[in-house]
Amino acid sequence: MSIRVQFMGPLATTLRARETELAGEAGLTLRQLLDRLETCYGPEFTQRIYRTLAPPRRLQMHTRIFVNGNAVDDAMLDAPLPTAGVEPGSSEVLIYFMPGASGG
Amino acid sequence: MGTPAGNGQAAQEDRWIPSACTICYGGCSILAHRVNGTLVKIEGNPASPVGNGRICAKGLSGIMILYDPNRVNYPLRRTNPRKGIGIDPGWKRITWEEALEEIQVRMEKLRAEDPRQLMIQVTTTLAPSSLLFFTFGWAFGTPNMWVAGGGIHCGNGAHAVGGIMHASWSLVPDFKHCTYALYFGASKGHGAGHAATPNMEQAADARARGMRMVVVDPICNFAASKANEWVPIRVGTDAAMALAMVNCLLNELGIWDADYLKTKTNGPYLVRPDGTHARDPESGKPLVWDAATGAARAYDDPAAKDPALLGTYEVAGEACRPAFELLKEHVKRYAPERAERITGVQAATIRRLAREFGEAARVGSTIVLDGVRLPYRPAAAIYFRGAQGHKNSSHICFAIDLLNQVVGAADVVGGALGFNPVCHGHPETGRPRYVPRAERDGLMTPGTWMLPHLPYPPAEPRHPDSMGFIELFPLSHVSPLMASADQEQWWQRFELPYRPKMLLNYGANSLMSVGNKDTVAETLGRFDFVVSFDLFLNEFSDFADIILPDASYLEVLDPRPNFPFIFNHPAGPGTWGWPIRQPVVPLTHERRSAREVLLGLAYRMGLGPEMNMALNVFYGLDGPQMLDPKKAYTFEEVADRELQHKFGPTHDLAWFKEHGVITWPKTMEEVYWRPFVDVRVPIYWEFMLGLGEKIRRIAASRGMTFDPAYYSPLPEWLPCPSHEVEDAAYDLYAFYYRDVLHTNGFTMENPWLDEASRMDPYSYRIALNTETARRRGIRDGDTVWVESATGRRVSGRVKLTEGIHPEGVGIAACAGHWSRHQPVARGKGVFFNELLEVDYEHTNPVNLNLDLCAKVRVVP
Repeated sequence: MSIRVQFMGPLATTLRARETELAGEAGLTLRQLLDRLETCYGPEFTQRIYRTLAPPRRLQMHTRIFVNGNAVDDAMLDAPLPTAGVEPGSSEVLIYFMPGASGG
Repeated sequence: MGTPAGNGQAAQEDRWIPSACTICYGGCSILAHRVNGTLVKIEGNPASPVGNGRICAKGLSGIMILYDPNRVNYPLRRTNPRKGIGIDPGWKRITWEEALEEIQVRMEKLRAEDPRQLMIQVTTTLAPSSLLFFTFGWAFGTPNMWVAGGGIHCGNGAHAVGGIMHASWSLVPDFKHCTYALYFGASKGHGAGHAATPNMEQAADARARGMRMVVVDPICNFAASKANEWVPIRVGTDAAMALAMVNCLLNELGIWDADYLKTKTNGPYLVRPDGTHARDPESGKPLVWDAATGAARAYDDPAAKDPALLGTYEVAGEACRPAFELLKEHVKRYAPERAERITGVQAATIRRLAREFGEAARVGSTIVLDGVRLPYRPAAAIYFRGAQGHKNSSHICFAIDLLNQVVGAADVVGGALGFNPVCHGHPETGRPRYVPRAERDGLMTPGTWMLPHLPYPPAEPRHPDSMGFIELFPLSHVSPLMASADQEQWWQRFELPYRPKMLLNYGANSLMSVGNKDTVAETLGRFDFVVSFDLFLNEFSDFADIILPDASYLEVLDPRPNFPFIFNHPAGPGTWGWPIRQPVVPLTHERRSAREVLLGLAYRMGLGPEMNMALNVFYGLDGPQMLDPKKAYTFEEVADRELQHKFGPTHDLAWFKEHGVITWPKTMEEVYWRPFVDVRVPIYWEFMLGLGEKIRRIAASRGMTFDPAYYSPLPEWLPCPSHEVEDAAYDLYAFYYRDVLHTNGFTMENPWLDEASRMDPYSYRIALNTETARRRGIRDGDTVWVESATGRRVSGRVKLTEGIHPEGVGIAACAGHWSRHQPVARGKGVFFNELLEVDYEHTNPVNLNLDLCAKVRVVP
């Protein structure tokens, strides 16, 4: 399957990237996907996704991740990602990252 | 909710429309009486728990804002390129299209270069609605947003401690059951603060029921005048008094709640000689000493039947002591006699109050409510602006809250309650739902929060790339560096890779709401372009390039004026209420709702996907209500989705427009949640050690230093700069206090409130102790100068009173307007903030709270 990732808002500013595409295999979890993105984008990405870098990592409360239009939370980090897109016949999984920036 | 007049004549419109006030951030529910298209009266909405039909003077006066003849009615553009205090911008009327075109072009250029060059500024008055503006910032890609003095004045300290200890933004006594309320510089229930009006009703009922109320405050004003006892305290010294009271409880009276401390705090966690917790080598979990088996065990090990609170135990070759033991030892340094020297409060008084508080807490008692036996601790110590508005604010709030924690009076019946830390949601949908949960080391993190970053566990500090450096200070909320005298110096030292070029302002008058005007003016002068949504022209307008005529709160829609519930929904038992704000009259002239304008601007700039996703995050939308990134929506459609998401398809926007509010009962498990939720809170902030060291390493490399005592695990009294002024000529402490007529509002221009203020002997005067004044030859009504040790000064007429500490100079509200566009407010009252320095030296290095007191002298 193919995974299209869209970085939005301040995250896109920080990463200097708005979109990337990755190949995924059946059974790939969101946590594993985040690990791959961490490899690409480093701690600048991870700091905005997880509350703390040390385990057990938990998602930032106001950084929302939407997988095929559904918001995910900590409980879904280790569940396999869908293998198809929302549109009928689509094999592309669409993931949005939208962090809320803090004031000041 | 329409009731047409039926008097046999031609039908006339005569409607009462449910909505929400927004003159302050209380957001009380109102009914607006409209007759033939004209608003003629505002009353409280009895159907909503957010006020229960009651409303304050500010709320009643909203009609004068709506119909103020000085409203901005058309977009304006400056013609004079020179900007400065009192320099006429030469306003010229332009069209909306001209305004939006220029804004769009400038924003697109900025975004292409670096989105962080845009700064967004809103006002706390309109919170939480104004926080919606932050979604535009998220979509645009800038982290640079603030509430123009909010936070650095009103809550960086209190809210962080509230979050860590109560999972909430603020706290109040359990007005229903508390018998002894101890207020440190707080007005909750007495005209100010979150849920101001509902709290007033509850506090009045509590006093009538017999709740004893003691107010520790430099001035005997709204709370103290209704209390059983006023304890005048030297400005900014509350921590010393609170720590002395904790000392009395623990070391003189032997009062503490051992069960609570063992199961609901980190009191039994063992501490090594270096101050860090002794930890299980495999799991890394903090250890406790199980007295039952004589062994160290992880804090959550079921085999640890009897965790010790006192003693010294050898673990891995080191002598370790429970955190509670360290606290008990630590507070011995705050003998009441020492606290008397710091605070001016007699040692005997401190001892008496500690005994009264400790006895009132009835440690060990229980009460049965709705058939459930619950802990009963009817004593509460609360704190807010007065106590926390100082450089040492984090420790002040921590110290005061320890009073609640040691007697177990935290979020239990009768004790100090956070504002609604738990909500299980509406019975039909289960939404909104949030519950605190255990995080690192079993310590609590809030179930919901007002800002993206949570107070615990604090985020990893990192080199800052925002204007305010909050990435470096993760326990902060808002930063003075957004408008400080030394901002450029710090930006250079930390190599900030951009400079702010454009400011988008929503209703804030930062020239008056932050600190001295010259410092703020200098920072505003650094922007190339300033756009401001406003109801009126004011002092800030002198720095704007374009003014956009905003709709007032009586002309706009907001689907969530009282959510998150931890902010301004009444706490304690009762009823949940989710009102909406809706237009009660149609828009006139060329006024537009800023929400609609921003949404349209985002779509116009091609930011639709980002804006829609930001709104999805802000409103928590997903599933069928999630906004499609590829579509465009009106704000009404967004609001409709928000309401259906929370309350189902039968409760859509049309339903809310008709009914105004949805209500459902609170449960005991939600209100008195502490026994039901498996979380602990820290009475020993071990995490501060590592956090402080990480911050120190980053900051010191750029020349930014701080006293490590600010990051100690146990609170200390630390002096403000005003306490360290050595020039004996400056012998008084100036502070401001919240006037019930003007708290948290844009009210000085309101003629009804002005009339009331002119009848109030304090609103527009400088309060000075009668004896202090007599020694200086100052008489009641004299005009004096209040001069700070840093060379700033304000003038005003004196009101002599015995109701102020002899060393205090009390100034009400945020008055002293000078704009010619504020004909009612102009020249009335005193602009206290002029005395405040805005720089890192006057900033708390933990939470970035600004120091709000000034050492002054008073001269004719």
